[in-house]
This record gives sequence, C-alpha cells and structure tokens, in this order.
Amino acid sequence: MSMQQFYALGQLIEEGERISNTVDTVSFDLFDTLLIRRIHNPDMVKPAVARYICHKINKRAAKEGTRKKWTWEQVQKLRDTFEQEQRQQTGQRFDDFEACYPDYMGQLVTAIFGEQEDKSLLREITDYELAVENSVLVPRHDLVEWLKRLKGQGKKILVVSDVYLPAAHLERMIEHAGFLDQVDAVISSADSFLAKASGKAFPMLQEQFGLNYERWLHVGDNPVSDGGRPAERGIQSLVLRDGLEKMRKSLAKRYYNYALGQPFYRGRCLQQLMLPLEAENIPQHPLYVKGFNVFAPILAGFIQGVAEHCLHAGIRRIYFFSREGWLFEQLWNRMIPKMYAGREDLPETSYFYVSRMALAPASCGHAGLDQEHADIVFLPSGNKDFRDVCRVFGLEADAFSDILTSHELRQDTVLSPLHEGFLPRNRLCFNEMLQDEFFQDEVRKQTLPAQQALHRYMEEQGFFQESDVALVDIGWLGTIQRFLYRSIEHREDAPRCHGLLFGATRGIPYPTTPANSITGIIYDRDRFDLAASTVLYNRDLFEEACRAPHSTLNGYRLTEEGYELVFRHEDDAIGQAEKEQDRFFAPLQEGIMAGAEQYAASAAILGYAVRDVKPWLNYLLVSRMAFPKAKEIKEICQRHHLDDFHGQHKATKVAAAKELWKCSLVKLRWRPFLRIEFFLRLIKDHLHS
Amino acid sequence: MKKQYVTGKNYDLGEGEIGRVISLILRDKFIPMGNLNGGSRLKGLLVLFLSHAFGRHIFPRIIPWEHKLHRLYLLINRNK
Repeated sequence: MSMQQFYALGQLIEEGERISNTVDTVSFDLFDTLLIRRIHNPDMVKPAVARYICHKINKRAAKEGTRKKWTWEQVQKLRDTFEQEQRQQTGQRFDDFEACYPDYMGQLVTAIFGEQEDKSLLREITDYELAVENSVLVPRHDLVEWLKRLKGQGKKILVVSDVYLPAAHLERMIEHAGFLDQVDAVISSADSFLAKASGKAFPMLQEQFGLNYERWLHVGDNPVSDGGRPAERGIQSLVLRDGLEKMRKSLAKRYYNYALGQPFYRGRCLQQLMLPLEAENIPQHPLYVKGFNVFAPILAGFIQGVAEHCLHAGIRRIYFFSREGWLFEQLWNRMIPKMYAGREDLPETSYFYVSRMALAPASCGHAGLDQEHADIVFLPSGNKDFRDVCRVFGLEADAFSDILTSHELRQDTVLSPLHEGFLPRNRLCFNEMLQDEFFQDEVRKQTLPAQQALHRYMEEQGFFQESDVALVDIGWLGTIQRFLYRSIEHREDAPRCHGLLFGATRGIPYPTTPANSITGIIYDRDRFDLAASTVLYNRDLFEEACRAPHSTLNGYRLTEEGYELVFRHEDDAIGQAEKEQDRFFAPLQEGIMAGAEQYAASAAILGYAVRDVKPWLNYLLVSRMAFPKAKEIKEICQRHHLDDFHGQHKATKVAAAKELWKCSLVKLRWRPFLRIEFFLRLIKDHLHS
Repeated sequence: MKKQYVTGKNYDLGEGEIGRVISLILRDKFIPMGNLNGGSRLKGLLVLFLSHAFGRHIFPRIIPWEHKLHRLYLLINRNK
C-alpha cells in the first residue's frame, strides 16, 4: 500500500469516502488533523502553565515566609529539563524519544513544592493545562462530520497521537470538542512509548484491537508518521497537507514574531488568536462582527486594566455601576477566572444599582446642597432654572417659594448662561440662597429619606465592610461617584473609593482625595493620550453598547422594611425607544461577550498585560472613531439615547458642537478631508487644554 | 443587513483590516495619530498585506514543494 497526499481537505474526504468500503477500521491523527490549534506553536501553552505554577508557589512561599521567589521562566526551564531527561531515558529503551506528562510534571511538582506534595496539586495543574489546551483547540468540522459518517457505517474509529499527554487527557480534549462518543478508542504514545514516528504504534494497535492491516485506513497530517510508516505495514494512508491551514499558521507566526520586536503588533497578535475558526466562523449580524473585532478588545482591555489595578492596590471588592456595569460584570465573569486562574486574591464583584438622578438627592441628605454640586446641574444645556435643580436633586419646588422670594428669585428665573434671559445677578442671588440655613434645612429634610434608603441598600451590599472598594463605571466626569461619596463621607466606616472609569474626561475638576479618586483606564484627561481621546468622538456609542437591558434607576425609597429601588417606567415613549435601542444593540453585545472570552484565553497564553495591547487599542480607537467609514457610521450609530439628567429646554446661546458622527452620509462619503479636519481640531483642543 | 464573517477568508479581522492599518500608519507619517508605540515598519506591513491578499492562492500552490522551499529558506538565512 502507498500513501496518498492531499492539499485540500475536500479532496481527502472525497477519496476517503471512495475507499471507505474497503476498510473496517479508520484511525485518525488528533492534532492538526481532527483538532487544529489557534496558535502556530503547541509549546505556547506551556508558559501559561508555568505562570500558574509560579503564582501558586510564590503565594505559598509568602505564606510560609520563605525568601525564594520563583519566576515563570525558571519553572518553564525546569519543566523542559525534566521532559528532556525523560525523553532521553525513553530513547534508551524504545525507538521513540517519548515523554509522559504525569511522570515529568510529577517530578516538577515535587522539585518545586517539596517531597510531601500530594497528587491533588498535580491534578490541579493538569486541569489548568487541559483547560488552556481546550481554549486553543478547534475541531475540523468537515473531518469530524466524516468521522461521524464512518462511525455510522459501523467502522471502528481510533484516534492515535504522538504526544506527551496520556490517552485519558486526550479523551478530555476530544470530549470538549464534542465527538468522544463517536470514537472507539484513544491511543497516545505517552502511555506505551510506542509512537507512529517509528511505526511501532501500528503493530501494537493491530495486536491490541485484532486489526487487519489490509482493511485499515489511517488519516493524518505528517507524511512520515501518518503516511510512510503505516504504508510500510500495508495500511492505506491519506495525508492532509492543507495549504490554507499553512497560511493561517504562517500569519499567526508572523504576527507573533512581529509582536516580539514591535509592541504595536501585540494586540493584533492577540486578536489573531481570538479569531473563530472552522464551524465557529459562521455568518453573523454586522454588529456582532463589530462587537467581536472592535469593541471586545477595547472593553476587555478595560476589564483587564481594572483587574490589574485592583490586584496591584490590594482592593478586594468591586462594584459595577448600573447600567453600563452590567456588561462590565458579564465580561469580568467570563474573562478574569481564565486570565488569573488559581489566584485567590481576586476581588469579589457586585452589580450596584445607581444613577445620577437617584444619587443626587441622597448626596444632600447630610451635607445639603452646595454651590459646586448645584453648578453641575447647569452643565448640560437642557437645564435652565430652579425647577431643573429640584428635578435633579429630587426636591419639591413649591416648598422653597418663600425662600426664593426672599432672595428675589422665582422658580422660573433663568439661572443658566446658555439661555435667553440670563442675568449674572440672578445667579449670584441663587448662590447666596445656597448659603441660607433655612434653604439647607429644607433640602436636608426633603432628601434625608433617600440617603437613608441608599445607606440601607449599601449596607445590604456589604459596602462598608471593606476598607477599599473599586467603583467601576463607563465615565466620564465621575458625577455618580461624586454624589455617592458625598452621601457617605460623613460615616466613619466609609471605605476608600477608587473609581475606575473606561474614560475620565474630567470636564469639571474631580475633588480627588486619598479617600476618593477616579482613574481612567482607557482614556484619562490627566494623561496626554491623543489616540485614546478619540473616545470623545461618540461617548454615547460606548454607553449604549454597554448598557444593561433594564430601565434606569430613578431613586432609593425608604420603606418600613428597609428600602426599595425605584426604576423608571418603560411604558412611555422614551422607555419604548430605549427598548428599541437595546434590541438594536443586542447583536453587538453578543459579539462583545464572545470576543471577550477569546481575548481572555489569548491573553492568558501570550501573557500580555494592558500596557502591551494599549498601542493596538489606540489604533482601533483612532481608526474606528476618528476615521470611520461612512457605511460603519450608518450601521452602528445609535438610534435613541436617554439622559434624564439633561433637561428638556432648548439652549439659545450655544451653537451645536460639530461632530463627525453627526455629519450627513453625503458629507462623510464625498468630503475626503473631513475626518482629517476633525482630527486636527481634536489635536488643537488637546494642545489648548 | 447582510451577514458577515468575523474571520475573513484571508484570515484577517473581518474584511480588509490590514488595509486600514496601512492607511493609518501612512497617515501617522504626516499627522501624529497618537501613541501607537512606534507603529509598524513598512516592510512588515507590506509582507502582511501580501500574505493576507494573495496567501489564499499562493499557499495551496507551494505546499507540495514545502520541504524544498524550507531548505532553500534555511540556505538563504544561513548566507545572510
């Protein structure tokens, strides 16, 4: 018998189907045949395992007060040494220089953790290694389908592999790939040290399963092990040398090698490993594709940044602020256990219901309303007079009639300079009124129940049990955290609040203290980062992309039993519009979540931190936010955006800011320098600020 | 809306990401685009562009001579 080589999978399966009547047994090679790897080099999973072991031993050393600290490179080197030693020893007794994972890893665990170490640690490490392997393995759809057809025809199906993992481990991989029930036996050279490479595996299989060489077909990817060796025994063999697989691996290798010398490519290399392959890569909604390829790396980078910050600062509790925090928490749950496997110092997470409208009243329950916070109301152009102040801070305007009169003000006196009829004198009167004790007493009286309800909610959430908490939100001014901290700062058990924002635009200075600070992970105005500042092109887009599919919180209501969260009704026109927007962005969120999972698996393998991928994230932001295609803007631009904090008044003295994302499609298509114009304007604004 | 693939036929992100990278890197030569950490060398970009654009046609054609080409590649590298 001779071997046949094929350069495309379809041709191999066609020939296999043709000769399948002449065989009773079909054996398949496993790696690069039935299962392909996203990575170009199988050894790339080993550093991830070395990091896992390194973390475990260093944690133990810290507990025991031992001085020696391991690096993952040392662990990796030791593993390689033990593996090589075993291969040399095997080579003296057998034709193949094979190794067996449990043997040399057992040696490694004993050498690192000490003689007394039991089997459970090796099992834990093995589980992690197999989980990492599974994250990079993808079944070849067409080949697995053919395998199933062969099984259906009553053929004996064997999976044979030359690898250091024993058959029991390979079975777990095949089970994860979803076709273990179609396989009669899995055979690994690690169990017998008889490999396909020398051809010794085939007589062993023939004897073990009582096979007839002439009615046996072997399929694999190696011309020697899977082609020449079985052919020498009279076994029909089909060898697949797939040109497209070669291309895919060549690209992955090129990106990886470029990333070693040019940091710009690190994020791109990570994204190359994230890509869905084979049956995973099915036609998807265009927003799903945007979510996977653009938003997922950016948001996953943000979540990784949050994790790095918390681990570095020793923060043990994270609160994800509604509503954008809903997606952030989902991403955290999908990513962080994979990226920081085995770490016990990961913070606990909670989803925390907040909104500016709900927190504004609670912030006045103890401290009253000061000028700094009243001024925030007049930042959006839609707010105009005292009624807007009352709407934002949950006050009853009529109760202030006498106080307003005594300060020569009315409820409808214009207090915003952006509106017609504004007199600076009125604003001075308003500021004087804020100093009035009667005014402050009335404010406190009206807002105290909201604050008490908030405190009960926070106590239930364990907010006051930690000394440091991370508050994660999308951005931008940190108003939510500002209101939240103001409502608790008088309490002795108030924790230090570390605000971790996707983008910190700091339009108004944040009152930073050691106990209360904000940091922008992807963009922070306090760090000069021109590329990242392109998030400012369309902030609403990020908000909508991350928003939870539930209505916004309107307030905290004090009840006899404790508190009640009051949500906005969804049955009015705005509520319906929001629901429509949620439905519109549902595929985008699906893509983000799927992409983030792959990001975590790839980042764990490559060992990249956020700083490694940041240049690529900057590229994604600039190319998608500042230089988008007209078609992209049309596809992704959000339909509705609700913001209760902004009032309904139309400002007369403010010119609508020119925004690229609000330009007409005709302009976007036919003005070649439009994007450059806006980008130069961004540079100018940055230099001025 | 017409459905799309996350992985393009040329193993790029969606469709034509490499083209966007090239255009941004070239733009970066004239206007600062921000921190791209040195960006990319043009030779590397060109190789990637050719690999993505023509790899689908080239790789299946050269794979029968993979071993001979590999030897040639090693020889060239040794003489460098």
